[in-house]
Amino acid sequence: MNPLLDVRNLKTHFRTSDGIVKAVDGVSFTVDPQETLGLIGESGCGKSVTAHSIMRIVPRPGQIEGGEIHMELEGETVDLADSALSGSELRAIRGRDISMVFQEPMTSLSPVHSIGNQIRETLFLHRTRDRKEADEIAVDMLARVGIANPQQRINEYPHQLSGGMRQRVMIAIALACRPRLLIADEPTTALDVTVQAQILELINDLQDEFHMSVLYITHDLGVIAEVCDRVAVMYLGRVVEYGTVREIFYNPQHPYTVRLLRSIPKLGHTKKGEPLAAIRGTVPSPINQPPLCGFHDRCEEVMEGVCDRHIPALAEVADRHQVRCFLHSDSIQLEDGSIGTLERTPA
Amino acid sequence: MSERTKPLVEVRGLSKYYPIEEGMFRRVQGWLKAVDDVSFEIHPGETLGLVGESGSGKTTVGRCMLRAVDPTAGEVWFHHEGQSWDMAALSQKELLAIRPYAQMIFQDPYSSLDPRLPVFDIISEPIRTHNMASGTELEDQVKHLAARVGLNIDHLRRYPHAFSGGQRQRIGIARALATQPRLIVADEPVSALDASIQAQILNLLPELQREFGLTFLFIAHDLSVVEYVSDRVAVMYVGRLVETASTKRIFSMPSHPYTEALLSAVPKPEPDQHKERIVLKGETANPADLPSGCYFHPRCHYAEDICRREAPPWVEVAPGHHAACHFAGELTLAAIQTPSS
Repeated sequence: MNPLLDVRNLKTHFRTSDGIVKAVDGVSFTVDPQETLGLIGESGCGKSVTAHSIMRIVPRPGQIEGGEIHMELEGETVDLADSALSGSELRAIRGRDISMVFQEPMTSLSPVHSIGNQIRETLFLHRTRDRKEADEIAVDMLARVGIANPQQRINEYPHQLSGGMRQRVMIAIALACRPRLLIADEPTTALDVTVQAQILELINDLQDEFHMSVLYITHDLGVIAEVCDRVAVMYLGRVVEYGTVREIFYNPQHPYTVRLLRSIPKLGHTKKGEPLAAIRGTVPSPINQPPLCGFHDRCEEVMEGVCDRHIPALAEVADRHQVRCFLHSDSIQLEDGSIGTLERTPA
Repeated sequence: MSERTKPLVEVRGLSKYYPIEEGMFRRVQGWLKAVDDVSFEIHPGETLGLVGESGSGKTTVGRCMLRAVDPTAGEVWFHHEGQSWDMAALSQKELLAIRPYAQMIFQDPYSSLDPRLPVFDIISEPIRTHNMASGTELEDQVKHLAARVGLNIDHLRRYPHAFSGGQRQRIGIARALATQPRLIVADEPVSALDASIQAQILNLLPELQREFGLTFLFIAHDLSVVEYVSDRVAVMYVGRLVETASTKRIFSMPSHPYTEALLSAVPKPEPDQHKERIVLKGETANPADLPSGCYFHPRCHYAEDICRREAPPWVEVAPGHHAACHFAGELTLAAIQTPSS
C-alpha cells in the first residue's frame, strides 16, 4: 500500500536580516491512508511550518528550499513542493484533498461572514454550484460535528458561538469536501479539557466515517498517546525520533524524547516533591544554526567532538522505529542530504 | 497538615457579582455570578490547588483574595503572627500594610512584566514601594533573589524582551518573593510554558516553598500539574466550589460527578491505557443565565429530579473531604488509576 502523503527531505528556510532560520531542515515522514501521524515538539521546533509547507501557505520570507511532498490524488501523485504548481492547481487541492484546522478558532474564522457562508464558500469552490444543495450539505455537516439546531446556527456569526462550538464549525468547514488528509494544528490547545475530550472524540469518529488520514500537530504528549498511530518527534527543525506510538512511549531512544516523557507530571504516577526530569537550558536560537545535533548542549549524554561536530542521520533501531542520535548509530547526515559514516577518533 | 494548626487564610462566603447592564441608561438587568459563596481555608506551608475550566471563577477567587478586585460579599481572613485582618474589609491604606505578605505570580510571562523596565527595577519595585531596603542592601537582596530563582545576575540590566518565556517566569517569581510574602497566589504559572521548561519551574516552586516558608494558592486547569504541586485540591464549576479534599483522596476517590468527568477527560500519556472516556454533554453553564438547582445537572450523567429542583448541600463525605452533590458518597465514581491501586 502506498502512503497517502510522502514527505522527503523537506527544507523550509526563512532568510531574515539576522540570518537564516532553518525552520524545517530535512524532514521526512509518511502518512498512510486512514492513519493518524502525530507531529510533536516544543514551540519553535518546526511542526507548524511543516504543516504550512504541505498546505503551501508558508508566510514570507519563508520558502521551501528543497525536498518533495508527494500526495496521492486519485491514482496520480502530485509533488506539492514543486514550485511549478500554479496557484489555481494548489487551490484545487486545498480544501478538497487536504484541509487544515488551526489552533485559534476565533482568528481563523471570518468575523463578518455567517457560519453558513463560510461553509458554502468551500463547497462552491469544490463540490457544487447549487445554493440549495450547498445549504443542505452545510446543515448536514454542522449536525455531524454536533451542533444543535444547525438550521438556525447556519445564519449566525462566529462571535455568537463558544470556543468549542467555533472549533466544531472549523472542523465542519475543513471536512465539508471530504478531504483525504486533515491537518490538525493544535486544534484543542485553546479549549477546556472536557471540550477537548469532545473534539478528540469527534475527529476520531469522522476519521472512521470519511476514511481520512490525519496529521495531528500538538505539544501535548497525552493527546498524542490517545489519538495517534505513529509519531514523529521534532526538535529544532528536524525529526529526531520516528516510530509507532507504542515504541515512542514505551521504548523511547533519543535522549530528548526520553527526558521529555519524564518531564511531564503524570496523573496518579507523580509524587509531590519528587523532582521532574527537567531538560536543562532552553532551545537554542534557530538563527544560523551550525551543522550539529541541535540537542547537544542540553543533552546529558553528549559526546564531545561528535555531537557538536556533525548532524546525526535518522537510523533504524527497531522495526518501524528510527532515531537521529550518535548513541545509536554512526551515520552522519551530510549537507547535501546524503549519508556518511562517523570516524571516531580514539579518545 | 494537621487540622489543629490555625489557617493562614480563611475565605468565608466569598462572592463576586458583575452587573449585566442594558439599554441607554445602563440599567442593571441581572447579575453575572463569577464567584458565588465560596469558602475554604489554606494552612501555613500548604499548597491548595484550585482547578476549574475557563469561566469557572478560579482567577476571580485569587484576585478577590488579594483585593485586586473588590468582592461583592464575604470575608477573607488573613492570620499572621497573632494578628488577623479581613482583607475584604480593609481600606486601601490598611491594605498597603498587608500587601507585602500576599503576592501574585501571573500566567503570561509576556504581558505581566513592564517592557520598559530593566529586570533589576522589576524585581526591586515591590521592595522600594514598601520601603524595605535601599542602596547596596537593595542591590544585594535583588541579586540574591535573582540568583535563587536561576537568573544570571549579570543580566539584570537587560529588559524583559531579551529573556525567554521560562526566564521571564523566573523574573515574575523573584518579584513575587521580593517582599518576603507568606502567601502566594499563582495563577496558571506554568501553562504558557513548554514541557521541558514547565518542569524546571515546577521543580523550583516547591524548593522555594520550603526555603521561604511559603503558602500557595495554585490556580490551574492542568490536573496533572495540580496533582503534582498540591496538598489539597478545590474544584470549581461556574462560580461555586463543587469538591475539596486532599490531593490523594480527590484523585483516587472523587465524590462529585464533575470531578470524575474532569479526571476522565485528561488525555493520559499511556497509549495502552485506552479506557472509556466520560464525554460530557453540552457546555459549561452560562454564569449570566444559570440552570435551576445544581448548576451541573444539565451535563450530569447521574442527574435526577432533585438535582433540577434544589441546589445541593455542601456534604462532608469523609473527614476533610467535602462535595456539593445530592448523591455525594452514594455514587461509585471512576478515579485515576495509580500504580498501587
